[in-house]
Amino acid sequence: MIGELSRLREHPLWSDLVSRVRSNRSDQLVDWLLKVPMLEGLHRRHLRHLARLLHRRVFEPGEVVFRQGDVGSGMYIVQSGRIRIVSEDPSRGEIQLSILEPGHCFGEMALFDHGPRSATALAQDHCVLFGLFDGDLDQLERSRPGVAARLLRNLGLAVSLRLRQTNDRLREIEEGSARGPY
Amino acid sequence: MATTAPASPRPRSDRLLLSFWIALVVGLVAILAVSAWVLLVPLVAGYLLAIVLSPVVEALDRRGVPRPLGAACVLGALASTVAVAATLATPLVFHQIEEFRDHSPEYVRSAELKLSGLMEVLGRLVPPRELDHARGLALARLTAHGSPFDSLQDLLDVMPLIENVLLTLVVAFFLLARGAEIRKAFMGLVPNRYFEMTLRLLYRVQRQTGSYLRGQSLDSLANALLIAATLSVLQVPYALFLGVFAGLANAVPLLGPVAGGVPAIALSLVGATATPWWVIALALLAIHLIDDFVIYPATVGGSLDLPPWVVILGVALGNHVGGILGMLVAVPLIGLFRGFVVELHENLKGFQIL
Repeated sequence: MIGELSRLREHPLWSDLVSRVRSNRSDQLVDWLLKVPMLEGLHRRHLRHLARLLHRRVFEPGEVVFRQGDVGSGMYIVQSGRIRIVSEDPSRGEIQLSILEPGHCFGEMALFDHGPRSATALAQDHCVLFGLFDGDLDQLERSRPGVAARLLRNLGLAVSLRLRQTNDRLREIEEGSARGPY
Repeated sequence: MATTAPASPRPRSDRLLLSFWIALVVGLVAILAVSAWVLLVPLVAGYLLAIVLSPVVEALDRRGVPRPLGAACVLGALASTVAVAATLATPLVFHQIEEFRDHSPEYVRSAELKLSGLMEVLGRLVPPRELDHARGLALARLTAHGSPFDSLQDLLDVMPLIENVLLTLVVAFFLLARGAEIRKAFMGLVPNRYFEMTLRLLYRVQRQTGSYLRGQSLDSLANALLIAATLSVLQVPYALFLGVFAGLANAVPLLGPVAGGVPAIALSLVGATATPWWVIALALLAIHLIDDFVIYPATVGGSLDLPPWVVILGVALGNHVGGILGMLVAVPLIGLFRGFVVELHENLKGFQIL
């Protein structure tokens, strides 16, 4: 009987709920958020407010998080698993742009421009993601403007870093083509 | 494209758990189906109240007041204000309704005198028995046993049902205090494919509904105060009641301002006030222009943008379904529903589902 009960507790239908309750009790989510580079500089109490707004989503291997061309409405932080970012080109097919590991963020551009997604995000394996969307950010701006300002500053830094990396990559490509093939 | 594990025989614990979940879901659905009608009004009213009051609770939250305490304070303050206003204003409004009932036979006689020419023409066209019957009906509607205010009286009797008000406040409290968690729990049920779209739709419709309801409430209040004050200055009787009625009617685009002004002009025509009808009409027109060009743009910002035929059909349908209350809420509800459909269509296209 005890064995049956312990198996029940570990069942996927049930264990998720149990782990969430445990996670809330021990503030595990906040502990983990403290380690996310994108959220650097945010205090524990700020992260507790942010954690109230984050949406936990679970994706199975191969499942689409968002598709290139979809309206963008928010960003995700990878808690576990790996996310594959691919560009879908009608002439060249699927081009892999990057693989994101736990702690990485993606889709943050949508929080600024609400434009269409520039690439497709797919779960490489069983993934747990935390999503923050424009409505949540609006709410954070209204209730905790200081936290929202800090978060937006971090997001801006991440976007500018990515832009610099892209510029460097372009320069390398230009220099490579100027030198020629020989 | 989720991978699926090969089929294997279910262990006993699986069957137990599955049976438990099925029983739980069936039970919940049965309870919801039975209680849906009972809870529908407080749930919708509580949700709308929470949307309207959320900026105040957020402002308190920003100043460090915990959300449950902020929600309790805001709802408590609102309930107290409504209770005080009702205690002070309701006897006045009811006194004016009673006074109108007492004077209504005089108004009918005066109207008959003023319209004697029309009655003569009607006398030639309509058989006298039918005309007498119509006159009797009109008088019956205006006197104690069949006043046109009966439906309003019913409305006032039904509205303050204690359990509905309490349930509305409880729903609003939980939504204000734990809105983010409730939304997250609801969104947790949405499949990944539709998650972002649903969340975006929820936020946008909530924002649209909130700004419309807050704006319209302020606009109606401003109109009610302006009209009541102006009619008092013009010495029109029942100014307070007419102001409240005009303020409520103002929620209906196109027809509302006219419907709100007609009773005051009619009172002048039947000799209830010495102020000429055209002075009252000009004053009401001036208030309507101030509303159109100053108050409405500042409070609501954008109109519901409904074609006139939809407004007329909506009012007729509202009257059929819910009397005066139905007429007042039908057009705003149609407007909000239209906004929801437009948002849904845009999102379905944006997320490449359509």
